[in-house]
Amino acid sequence: MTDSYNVVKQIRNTGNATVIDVSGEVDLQHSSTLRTALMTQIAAKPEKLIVNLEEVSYMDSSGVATLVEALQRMRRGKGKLVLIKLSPRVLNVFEIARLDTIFIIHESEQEALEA
Amino acid sequence: MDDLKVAVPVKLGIVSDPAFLPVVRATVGRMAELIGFCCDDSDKIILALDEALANVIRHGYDGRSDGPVELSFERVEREGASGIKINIRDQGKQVDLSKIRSRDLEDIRPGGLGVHIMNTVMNDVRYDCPADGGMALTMIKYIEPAAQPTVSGEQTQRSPQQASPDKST
Repeated sequence: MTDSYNVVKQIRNTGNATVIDVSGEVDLQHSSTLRTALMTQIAAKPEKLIVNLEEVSYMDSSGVATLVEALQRMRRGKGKLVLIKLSPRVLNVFEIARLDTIFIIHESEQEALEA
Repeated sequence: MDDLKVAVPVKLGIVSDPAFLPVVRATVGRMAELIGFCCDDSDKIILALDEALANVIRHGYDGRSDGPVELSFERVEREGASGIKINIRDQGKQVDLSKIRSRDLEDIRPGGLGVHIMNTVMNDVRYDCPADGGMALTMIKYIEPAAQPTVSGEQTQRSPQQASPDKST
């Protein structure tokens, strides 16, 4: 079977932040695509990296692990990684993994930009 | 369609290609709903199964995408509570059962969350190393009493999910 879509929908710059819009199912098959996009952006040393998960319908632990790695790399570079617009289903995965308090999570992009 | 009342296993045969994961997720999710699980619990069952299959692909088959994986989903009953039993059988590497356990979640790092998720979500998680090779995994989850469907078919408020002890070690 072939990979039919890219979970990284768009990467854009807004003010001092880089925003990655993610969509679809971030699972074992697709989390490596997200990882590549995140690591590429982190290498450019953004002050703030916002990951918009509004259109993510499903995420497994490989997706969560990818975001944990990104968080750690951003912290090492003194940057800030912010997650926004998590659906209850996606937030639930973070809660089960007890990682919901590790990340900065906001409901809107505006809140994330001002944080 | 009426809720699933009969304990006839639904069987799926796939290979260890992550591209099949959405197919399995859709199947188990629908089956869980038909058994009577609420949407939230169906999502958790989907997640637990997904994590189990990810482990088969990554560790059992070392990322190979052509390893056979047999799955079955079955309605079960215990003390009046309906549930779902999931069996996963592969022909990958056998693993020392004592080494299958949750890691310390205080250690914030990527990876290693799958077993924790499975043990937290499901009521029972049992691994076995069959004599003819590969691994066998059985996971069971029951509908919590407060969430059992009522006569009208609606579900009452369920109590918060209780984390089950690690039974895989």
